[in-house]
Amino acid sequence: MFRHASREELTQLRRSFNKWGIFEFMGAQQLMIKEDRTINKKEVVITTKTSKHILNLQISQPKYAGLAVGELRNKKFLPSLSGAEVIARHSRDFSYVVVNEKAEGLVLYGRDILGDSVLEASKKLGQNKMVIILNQNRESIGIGKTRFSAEDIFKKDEVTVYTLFDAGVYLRNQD
Amino acid sequence: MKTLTFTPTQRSLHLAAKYGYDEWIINRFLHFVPNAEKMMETMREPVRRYIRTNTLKITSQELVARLVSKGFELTKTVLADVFEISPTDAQISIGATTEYLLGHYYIQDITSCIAVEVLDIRPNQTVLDMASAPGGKTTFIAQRMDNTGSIIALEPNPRRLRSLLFNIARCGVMNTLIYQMDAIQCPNLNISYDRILLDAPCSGEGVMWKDTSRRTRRVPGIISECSLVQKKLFDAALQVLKPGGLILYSTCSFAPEENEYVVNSILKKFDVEVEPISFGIEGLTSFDKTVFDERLRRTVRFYPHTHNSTGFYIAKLRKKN
Repeated sequence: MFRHASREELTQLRRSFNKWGIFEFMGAQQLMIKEDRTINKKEVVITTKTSKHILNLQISQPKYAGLAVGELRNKKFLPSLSGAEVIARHSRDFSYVVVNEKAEGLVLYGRDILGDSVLEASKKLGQNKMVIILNQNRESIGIGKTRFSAEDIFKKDEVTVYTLFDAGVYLRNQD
Repeated sequence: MKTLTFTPTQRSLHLAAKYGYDEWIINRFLHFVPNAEKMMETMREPVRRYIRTNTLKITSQELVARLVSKGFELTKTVLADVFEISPTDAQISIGATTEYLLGHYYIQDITSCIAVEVLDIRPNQTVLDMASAPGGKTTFIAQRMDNTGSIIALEPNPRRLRSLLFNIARCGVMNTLIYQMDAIQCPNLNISYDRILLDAPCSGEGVMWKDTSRRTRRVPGIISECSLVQKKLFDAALQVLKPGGLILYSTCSFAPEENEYVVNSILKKFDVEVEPISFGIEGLTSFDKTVFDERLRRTVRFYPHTHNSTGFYIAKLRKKN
């Protein structure tokens, strides 16, 4: 069901939004939580004032509302592909790698990233950290996990970022 | 109402054999399609393909530059953000580019775009999309509303619902509320709408150009069955449309039973006015022995040979105050 975020959840979300550099942008959005207690999942969605108003009046819940930008898990916000896009567009301070055109194509097939393909990376990258994968237009094409910390992210002939999610899913799952 | 069929003639038999259609389909076309043989001829050519820029994410100027640099050839159309894609030697399919995956455009027939365009959708309105999946028109509506207001999108089929969700996420749409329900039940939601899009389930005659199987494997009964459902959906829609609000009825069918007959029955039953549309050619005012309301002239038809599009029908009605 869709509901408003509790005070505690809002605090957790704001802390994470701050970390991703989208505190201000998200503060201006209409957020709601889609909670599925059977699988203990809390999805974070951006919706509109009008939709929120309708949701407040409705007895029957919609199947989906707004844009799912991530999950609230273990008190942290984990961005979805749509969330990664929001971060890439609106944040100036987030963990990222920029990959070359060849790697862009491979990432969109779900392949991991070789250090040779990384053109640029944010400075404070840690090992085993979530990063937004950007193409050369600085558009989010996926979400990855670093295998090394910043200094080794360009390591030749080695996978340095695992691809967790990629925008190619829209094609692979198309009917 | 029974689907009207006609006694085979030498011409209908000849054209059916020549172009590979069932005779009853051709015979019907000969009774209402202007220059029907030219239409058959056009439907032998490669299907025209169009894309619509998703201005929620990119400008048309930027998108065109990016696709041209990848080897695609784009031509302007009657709509500012819709382009025809010409066959080229681009290395990648138009449905598999990074720009497509990132939701910068939607592959969609121009008639579907026109349907949304003429509905005069504005930001902050409440809009009902009665048959939403796979989301081509829904995402265009969101674009017209600049991701504000609310789109109530209905889709009963779980499989089609999934493709709708993918397209909504891909295109970055924030203003939808998606209900898995049959559109006929829309009054149960107790919401009134400024605009309603009823792109009705239909026999799909108009997509024969793309889907050649529809030229033969069909029976006339499907048209009358669809017509019945379409009237019920229209009825339900008018119950939830605000006075002064607009409803756009469309089908991708040539059949008068699914188009003018349906709107004609609505005009008899509800206090609505037919609004003019500045695209297409005027709707039929008669079919065989049936004469329709004169106002049906303001509804419009699109044919492959006149508009380089799928066959389409649009009626725009305003509910009186």
